[in-house]
Amino acid sequence: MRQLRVNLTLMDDDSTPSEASAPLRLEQRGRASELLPVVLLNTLLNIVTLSIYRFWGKTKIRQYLWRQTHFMAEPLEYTGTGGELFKGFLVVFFLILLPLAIVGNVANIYLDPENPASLFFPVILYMTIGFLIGFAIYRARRYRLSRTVWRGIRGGMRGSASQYALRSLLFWVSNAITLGWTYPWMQFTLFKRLMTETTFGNRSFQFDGSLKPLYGAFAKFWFGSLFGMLAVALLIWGITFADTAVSTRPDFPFSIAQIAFLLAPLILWIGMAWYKAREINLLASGTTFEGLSFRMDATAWNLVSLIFVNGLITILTLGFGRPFAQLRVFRYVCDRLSITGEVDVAAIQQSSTAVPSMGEGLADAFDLGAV
Amino acid sequence: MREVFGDFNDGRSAAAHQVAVRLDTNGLNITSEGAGVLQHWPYADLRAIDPPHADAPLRLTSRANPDARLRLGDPAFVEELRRKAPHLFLRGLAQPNVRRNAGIIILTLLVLGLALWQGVPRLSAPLARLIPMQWEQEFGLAFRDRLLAGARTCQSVAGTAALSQLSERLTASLARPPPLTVVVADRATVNAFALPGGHIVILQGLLDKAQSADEVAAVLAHEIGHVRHRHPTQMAIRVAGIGLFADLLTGDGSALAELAGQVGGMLLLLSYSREMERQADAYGRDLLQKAGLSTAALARFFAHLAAEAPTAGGGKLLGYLSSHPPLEERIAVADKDEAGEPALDAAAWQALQNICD
Repeated sequence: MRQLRVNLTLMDDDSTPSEASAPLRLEQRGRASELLPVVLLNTLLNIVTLSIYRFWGKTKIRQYLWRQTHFMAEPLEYTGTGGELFKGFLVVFFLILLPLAIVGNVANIYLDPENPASLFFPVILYMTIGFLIGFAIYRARRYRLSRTVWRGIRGGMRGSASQYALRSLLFWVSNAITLGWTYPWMQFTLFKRLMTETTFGNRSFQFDGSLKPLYGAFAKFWFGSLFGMLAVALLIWGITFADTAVSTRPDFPFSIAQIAFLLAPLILWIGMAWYKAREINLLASGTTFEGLSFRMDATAWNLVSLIFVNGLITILTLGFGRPFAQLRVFRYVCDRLSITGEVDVAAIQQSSTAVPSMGEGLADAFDLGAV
Repeated sequence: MREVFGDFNDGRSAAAHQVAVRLDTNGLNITSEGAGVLQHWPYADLRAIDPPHADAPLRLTSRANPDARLRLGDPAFVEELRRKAPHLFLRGLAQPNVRRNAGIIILTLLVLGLALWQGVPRLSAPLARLIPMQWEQEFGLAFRDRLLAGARTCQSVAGTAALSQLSERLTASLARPPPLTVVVADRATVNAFALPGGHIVILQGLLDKAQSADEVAAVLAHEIGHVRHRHPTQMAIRVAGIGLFADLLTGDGSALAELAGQVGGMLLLLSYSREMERQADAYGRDLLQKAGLSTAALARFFAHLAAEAPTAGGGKLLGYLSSHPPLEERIAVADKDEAGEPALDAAAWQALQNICD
């Protein structure tokens, strides 16, 4: 079973023959049947410990998901610990969440509704929370990458979480003002920021995408959904006025309002999935790492089925089955990502930047992130 | 000693090296042809990356060089290593770090339990005293308005006079009577409650069901007891405290854990409140005695309520779950009590009962 290879010395920095032939792809070899005992034990221990075990349980799941993810036929490794997540949670709970909740409640009780401050207070509170969410996303990514190891080399984030959070917050405000028209710009800018600050060892990812096709897709989605909703409105108007006999018949199963309430979000949802699939593909193809370029093959249909089935899994298992949904996300990305080009992995050195000592308490608190 | 090939990453670069690995007396000797001895990893320093599995290669690192990785695929060699470094193959609670984590979790649960069982109830009274009375009164008023949304507060002239006569008579013996705002609300439910800041609400339904002014006086004395002990404010603090710990426990939002947290919190609150009811009963009886009124009336009131609707107050389980002490207990306490003068004369009692007209 042992393969006999040419022995190489450390002086020789060239790729080994086996590396040249290793497939340039991410593979997820995890199986739900293997995950099941881990999930069952986690569930049991969560119940017994009034859910304090969750930090350690989450770590177990990540270890499994990472271990089963292979790049060039070698597994990733998750080196985080439950203790780090627990510490991160405690710090965030007592330093951020608790003061925020106290300030929010006290203001709620004692602010006179006629006082102009009572108008601004919720705005400030929501802005703070909005900022914290962006901050949490960045910090969680930094923690996870710093605990992700391939061939002994760590990943990381080399930027600033507050810079990211500030931009994210401003973009969300402008999204609301422009009826969503800054959304593609936001996704483009924030993704570019995240990717170019993502490191593996001493190398960074690069991003050189273009914003124009993203706006093309967004315009189709925006106007398409608008026309779709107008069509629904017209249809309903037609049924109501042209043929009152149909809608008022006692055996007609749905009211007009019910149909409208079901159809409108459905149109928006499908349109959004269509746009999101294009966005994912465009952003992925703008990304490079050393000599590697990436391509994603997301479609509206496979995205909808991923999200829909994952939602079902999570709801039907009262949240305990979430790891299976996470496995499906890993599989989705691994199966649909193709990587081309050549990379001299031997030239990638360990980074000397500091790694965070605590886990992603904020992301845990806001329930962010799939994993 | 036999030598096998292994895949090695030195922790400095992502290059893969094929190395020769040999077990010597005190560690793993990792050598590369041409470069000589690369590393020597003592057995005690070895750490397994993944739990060892028969079908998968063993992945190792060393405490001295935690970024380096060594992968060994030869099962016979791994078996030899098991004899030299058995700690790599420990499972479950046999592993020191698993035992330490279990310790952390148990300690956390103990600290939380102690805080809920002793900390919250003990701290709520001193914390309640820290809150300025004026804040409490404003909050109580806002709370009362929300609670009585839609219900009229009754203010017939004679009825209001009778009500203040009753509460003045009860508090006459007190050197520093607590600030009281007693109102009757036009609701058919048989109930009365005290809110933060000395706001007491009696519902019209209670006046209808009461057979004499003595019974209303007893209920009022009981509610004044709550006000005196600042129970409503303590209760608000306890609810907030329990909510805090419930959040701490169930931050991750699994529905079942959240539900368990809520049910547990509710049961805890009920047991707190039974203790408060006993305090209010005792204080109320004291007030009645000092005012020269009947101390048996409260139990009498509950007894005839129970007789009217036997399922509502009687059963053991219901008695345990409800916020008030079991009726039998109250009657037993009241048995020793005597009758006193009537709380109001017939005309004033009539006026109080008709306060909503």
